[in-house]
Amino acid sequence: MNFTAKTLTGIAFLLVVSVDNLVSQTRFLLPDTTVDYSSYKYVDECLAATNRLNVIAESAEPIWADTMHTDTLKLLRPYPSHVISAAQYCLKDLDPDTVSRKDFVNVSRLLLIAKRDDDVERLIERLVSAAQYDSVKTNIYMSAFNIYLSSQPARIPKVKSLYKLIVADSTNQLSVWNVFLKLSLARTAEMSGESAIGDSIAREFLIIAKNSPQRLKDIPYHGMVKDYIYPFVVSRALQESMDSLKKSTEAYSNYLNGIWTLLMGDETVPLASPIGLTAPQPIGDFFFESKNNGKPQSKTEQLPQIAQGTANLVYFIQSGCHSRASGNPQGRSNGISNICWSEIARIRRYKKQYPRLNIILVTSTYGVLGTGPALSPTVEADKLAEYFLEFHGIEGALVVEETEFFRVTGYDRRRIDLDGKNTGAYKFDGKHAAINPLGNIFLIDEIGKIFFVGSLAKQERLAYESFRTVMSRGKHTLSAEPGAFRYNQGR
Amino acid sequence: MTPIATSSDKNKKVFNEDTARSIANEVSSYLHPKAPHQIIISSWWGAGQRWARNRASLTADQREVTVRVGRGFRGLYTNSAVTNQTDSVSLKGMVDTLEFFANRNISKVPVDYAVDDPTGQPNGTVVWSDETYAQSVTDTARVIQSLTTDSATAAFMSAGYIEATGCTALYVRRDEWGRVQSEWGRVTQASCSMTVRAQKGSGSGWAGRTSYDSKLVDISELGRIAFEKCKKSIDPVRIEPGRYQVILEPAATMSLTDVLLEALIRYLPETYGSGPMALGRDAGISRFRSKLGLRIIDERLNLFHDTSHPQFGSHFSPLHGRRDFITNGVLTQLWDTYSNHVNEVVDGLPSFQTTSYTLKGGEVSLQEMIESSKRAILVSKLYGTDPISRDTLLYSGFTRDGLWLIENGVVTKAVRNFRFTESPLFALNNVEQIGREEQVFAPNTSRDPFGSGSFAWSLNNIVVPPLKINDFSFTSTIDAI
Repeated sequence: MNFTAKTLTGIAFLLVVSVDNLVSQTRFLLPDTTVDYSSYKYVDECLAATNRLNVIAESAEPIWADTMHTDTLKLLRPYPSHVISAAQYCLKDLDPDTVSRKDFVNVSRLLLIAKRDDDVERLIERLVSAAQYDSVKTNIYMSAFNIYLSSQPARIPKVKSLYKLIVADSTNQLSVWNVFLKLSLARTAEMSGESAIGDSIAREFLIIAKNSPQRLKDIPYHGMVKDYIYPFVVSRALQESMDSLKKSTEAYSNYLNGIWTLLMGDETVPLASPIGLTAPQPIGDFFFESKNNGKPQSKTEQLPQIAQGTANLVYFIQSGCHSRASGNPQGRSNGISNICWSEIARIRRYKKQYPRLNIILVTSTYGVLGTGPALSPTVEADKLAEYFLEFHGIEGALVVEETEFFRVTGYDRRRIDLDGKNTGAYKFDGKHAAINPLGNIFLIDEIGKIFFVGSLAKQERLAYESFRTVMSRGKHTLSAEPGAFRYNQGR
Repeated sequence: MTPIATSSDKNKKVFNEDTARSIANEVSSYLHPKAPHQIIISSWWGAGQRWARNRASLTADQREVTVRVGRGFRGLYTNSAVTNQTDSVSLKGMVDTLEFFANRNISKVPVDYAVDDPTGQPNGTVVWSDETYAQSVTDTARVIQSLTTDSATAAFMSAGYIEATGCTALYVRRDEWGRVQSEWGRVTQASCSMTVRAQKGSGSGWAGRTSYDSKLVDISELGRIAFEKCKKSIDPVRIEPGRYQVILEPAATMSLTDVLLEALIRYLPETYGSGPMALGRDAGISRFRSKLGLRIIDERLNLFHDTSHPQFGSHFSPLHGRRDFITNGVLTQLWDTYSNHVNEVVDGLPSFQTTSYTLKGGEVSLQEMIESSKRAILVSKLYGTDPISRDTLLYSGFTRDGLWLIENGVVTKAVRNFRFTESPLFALNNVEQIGREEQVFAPNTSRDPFGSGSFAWSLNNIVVPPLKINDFSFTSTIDAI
């Protein structure tokens, strides 16, 4: 074979190009990660792929979702179009009449993403017709209930019809499963803009409690009341609740105690929340106030006090929030909901809405911030003030109590913290938990009585109504019409 | 393309400090001027020879370079890139890749908080021997030839390896306030392990040693020991299993102390109340307590480690210094994660897990132990140690490479191997005599010591004594030689 000079030049050029590509590829060129969904053989792969696409879309949001007002329309929105098309492409050859029954859950989820609702119905019918026992049928309905509930958009009409099939005809309305189904439906319905469903379920609980006192002696029921049903009912902001709230703090307190007694029967377990009691003044060893729009802060000579004649917010900052003050500007992790940031963002916006709100953050020293080096109480308090007042932009005061502690003797040397004075005072002689299971924010009215305890984030609706009510009392006036209140202003 | 490492540098086995710093400076120059970052420049060299069935099978000389750069916020190096090329194009390409990911992920990082560096001083560990670094393959080949010739003459089979490694690392860190911290360290390690077996598997002997200094790894002497043990262990007799007084040579002692050291963990007993160091719940402080402060082994024994010891030191780390785990038998310190330590203790620096340690206690020679024994078993080595109960540290395994019966102060016969079932918490409380500690064979065999991005490459410097222990439990005989 004869090579001409031109041929050899061409081969040399190709070699140079090839080598260059090879070197680039083996060093730092990103690999081609294009995915062909049609090559996926299993339903799990398709579901994982669509979930990945959705997560990527959500993570591209520039603002932390948990610091924003709850997106009540999120569950009504369909998935992004590329997620839907990926699911449709992935399932293009799937026949619901022949798909394996063990893939029911994943196939149904994917079919709903791909907007093939009719096929899901056929699949459920196929499963139900093959079931020999009622209990199996109920389990299928419960699975379908959860699948429809967690789809996007949530298929609320379907969920309601399944709810009737499972719960409404059930003889035991207060079985653990039925209670959780009720709460799931209420939560999702509210997320989908239908708060009336939740309200009706809350009333349902009250009616059951009133008509079936024998159930109240059921011990598991008491546990559910304390942990789930009571917090759910009082967070509904029912009309009676709002009426009593508007009337007076005492009326509201009486209303809540009435609900508590009704749900708990003759039990004398004290109400978890100290609503209606006079809020103790916070005490501390270090105190700071933000000035000039919250930018610089300085130690004040006078301890911040709960003020008369205006509404006050006392926020017990948990130690977990302190780890976020380790000096890391990032301050939080992606993908992990951070209740501290959620609460602080809402406090900031309430302050903007109601400038006369008196905010007092209360915390104590732990000897360390995050995983940083050990700190003296003075340095730690300064860092806390810098973090909460300046970095988070809270316009208010910070009270830091120096935690008393002892060390385990010998080689152990562990630090054991004692209960703080503020925490003790807000327990009211041990009758109430200072840190409410739902949150640790106390809203205190113009005469110093506690009328809301909980979380601004987890009990958003009740908290909002409580703010509106107390701020409209006495000298206060709303700075915006109720309907015009907006949470999503970001920081 | 300007090469950073000159041709003369490339011919060296590992980087010197000047070369490493010049590479770090160039990497730093490509980064954003205010970006907090960390750079690790490490180089590793390993050379060795292997032989089997009395024939040399391998002579190797391996070298590796790792340049790693990470950037992010304080204590949070979320993005990193690595290369083993030191030319300008590769270093620039590495930094560009890093910046690509850093810019994409800068506002949302899917990791939790990393541990801030503790406030220790740089270690500057130098466990270095010029002799090890200059170990000649020609010299070791002659020794191997001599060993294999002796084995062949005696109709034995010999196998083993000799290895020398050297490692240097430069760590540079710039924090978000522009403060720069750097550390430089270097270590060497020489190791040798060999087995001599009789024809038809009727006897076996082993010897091995690790040290930073090849002068302390006497290959000829190790060969003689393995050869002698093989010769003396031929055609062992079977004796009844049961509880015997045993004399553990240092290599056998290590199998027990390794298990004990692994159990000296702090957060497990104090957080969950579990593990062999758990004591129980203390109602007074509403916490779980560990056995800290209690005597857990014989009061003559001390277990400690000094990371910066010039001979038995182990690694580069800001958390250097001596840590006493057991003093006069009393548990005085447990190792801990840094984050658990600062959250729970908030006092002083923690003790990290180490694979290096010293068990010290006595001065009795092995020969004196044998002569003072009426009826005992001499154990060369324990092998295949597996846990039965982690809470009591009950382990089971085999004896191996030489087991002899001692009667009236004299080694009388080779015996067949046993399965043992024993806990160091029992055995080390039944100690009768303690010998003089010596370093045993326990090399770090990692070929990429800094590949994980860690700056703490540990040498396994284990120094333990021979021990005479009463009532050591042998639960069955085994056929293997």
